[in-house]
Amino acid sequence: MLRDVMNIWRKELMDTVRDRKGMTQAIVIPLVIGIFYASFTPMLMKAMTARREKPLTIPAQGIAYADARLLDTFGRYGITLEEYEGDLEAVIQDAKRESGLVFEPGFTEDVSEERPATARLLTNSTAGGIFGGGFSDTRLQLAVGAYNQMVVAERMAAREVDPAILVPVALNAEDLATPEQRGAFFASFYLSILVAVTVAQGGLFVAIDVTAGEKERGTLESLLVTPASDIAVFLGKLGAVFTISVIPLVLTLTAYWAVSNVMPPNMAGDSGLPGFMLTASLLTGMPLALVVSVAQMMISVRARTFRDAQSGATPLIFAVMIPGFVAAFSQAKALWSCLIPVYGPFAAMGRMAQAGGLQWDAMGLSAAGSLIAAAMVLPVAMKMFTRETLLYRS
Amino acid sequence: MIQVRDLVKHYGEVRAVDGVSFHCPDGHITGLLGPNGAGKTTTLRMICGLIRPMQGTVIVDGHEVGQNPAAVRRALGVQTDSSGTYPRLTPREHFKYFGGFYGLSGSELDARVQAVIDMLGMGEFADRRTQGFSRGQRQKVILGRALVHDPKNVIMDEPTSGLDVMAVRETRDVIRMLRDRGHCVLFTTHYMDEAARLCDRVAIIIRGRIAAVGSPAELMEMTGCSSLEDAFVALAGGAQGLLVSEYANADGNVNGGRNAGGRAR
Repeated sequence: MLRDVMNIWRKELMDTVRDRKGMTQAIVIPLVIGIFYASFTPMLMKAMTARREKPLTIPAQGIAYADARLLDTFGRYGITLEEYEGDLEAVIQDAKRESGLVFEPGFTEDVSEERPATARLLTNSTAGGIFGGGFSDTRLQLAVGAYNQMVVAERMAAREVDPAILVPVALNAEDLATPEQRGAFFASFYLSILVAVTVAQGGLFVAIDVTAGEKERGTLESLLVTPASDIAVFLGKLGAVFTISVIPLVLTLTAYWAVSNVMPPNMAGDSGLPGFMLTASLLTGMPLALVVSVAQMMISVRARTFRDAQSGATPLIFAVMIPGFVAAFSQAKALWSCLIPVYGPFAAMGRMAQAGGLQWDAMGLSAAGSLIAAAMVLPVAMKMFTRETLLYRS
Repeated sequence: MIQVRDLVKHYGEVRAVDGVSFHCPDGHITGLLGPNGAGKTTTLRMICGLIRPMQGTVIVDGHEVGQNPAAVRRALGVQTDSSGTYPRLTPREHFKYFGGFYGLSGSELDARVQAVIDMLGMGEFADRRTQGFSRGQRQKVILGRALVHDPKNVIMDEPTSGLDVMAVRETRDVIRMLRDRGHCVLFTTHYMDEAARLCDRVAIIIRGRIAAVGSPAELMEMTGCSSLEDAFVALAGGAQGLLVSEYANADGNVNGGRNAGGRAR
């Protein structure tokens, strides 16, 4: 029987590798997603940093009324005010400019005479994309905050009052997380989603092609009249589906790991995905891929056509991806939750990310949960495959 | 040799096959003739062990399909009624794949594959992927994968359906060649002239029952018709109005105890 299983496995792999459409869906797309996820955060951080450090020119009215030291403070924060003649509110509302300042007469006098001095900050949060009005607003607030601190300190010094009385409690925060923990924790968010997407999509096309596709092409009957047992045929095909599921998983996670270490997200520790998380993701993802492969086969066997199978498999994609997303967003993951089929692998990844190292108990429970689920679904799928009414209805 | 005895298969209220019996000797071509929906394909599927009969037995070279389906399949080469091939595989790869299920490997498999390619005249396209093949070329691939293990018994489900004249001739030549080499050949067809030209024995199946079995000459003589087509129509009409047993007994031979043609056992 093993010989027949291997014969079918080899043929299905060769057939799949030659199928550009199938290979694109099974391998290239998850790979691109992995690289995208790994490079998205660093690129976002870089863009935010660049925007934060880029000179900012703000249109303003009544600059002559503003305190000179406020303008100096703006200058230290890379902000230059530019006198604007015209309807400032209109241009900001039309999103032609992101923000603007308006100083009223008497601003400097109010400051010097210790009266509340007010300037209007006009912004349009929709202007300039995600780094637009809101971002300019934040930079202006920071500069004004620094100016206020300076003025308050001067006023208290003039009154011979120690400015420290304004800070009754000083909270010195210390992040004790190791660079590995920080890198793993940050990456684990994307990892859960990545593993879920890859496993849910990876072997689906192949599962459909080797079952419903064969029925549709009219080749399945020729295969079933050979001496190979139905079980050998099923297992050979399942083996191919599982292999094709695992290949994109390995490629995608390795690509994510490599890219995240070349372009680490700009966080404390500056660490990319630690190697142990790559190992953990693969060891928990592979048993999950087996469960999903069996389920994909079960759904595809029932289908009459390729299109039928695609429709039937849609709920399965969500059944895998939703636990992945839930795990990505949830914090505490109890050890026992690693045993829950489908959710368990993601829970185990989350626990290991928090611990900053491999946890064999979590991985063991996760693998056991997946294998038990596979063992329960496999006989049902095989029974469906050997039912003549399901095989020959078309 | 293929022996079919009292096969029964019902799908709900539909009696697809209802007590079919006949036998196909070695070195003979046996045609299974019947209108659409008569139960030909269901009968063939039960012979191959793809469908379990509700009643009856199939014995191929001494192996009973219910008891030892793998041995039966090993003794059979089956060309199914579909012209489906794997579009990304070449004919040679098809034959190697299917040959692998029959214990062939290495140089023995390569030699058998080449022999089939030569026998079917597929040299020009043996190493091209079957995507875009004509119906005739695909039919050769399907026939080749049924013959790659040199089976003693060959079953063909409408092997010439949809083929052009040249392809039909080539297929018929292959069928004759198999017979001449001592193989047992069982095939279904809609074409009466084809059955008349090729078959040593004909089993006519109507509404899931064998209406008559015999050589084309015997069937014509029995019905008093001058062609097999007329004999078939007469038998089909008879089957609608008369009991099937008027023409065939339980052994699948023509009534009256006559032997089914000179080549019959």
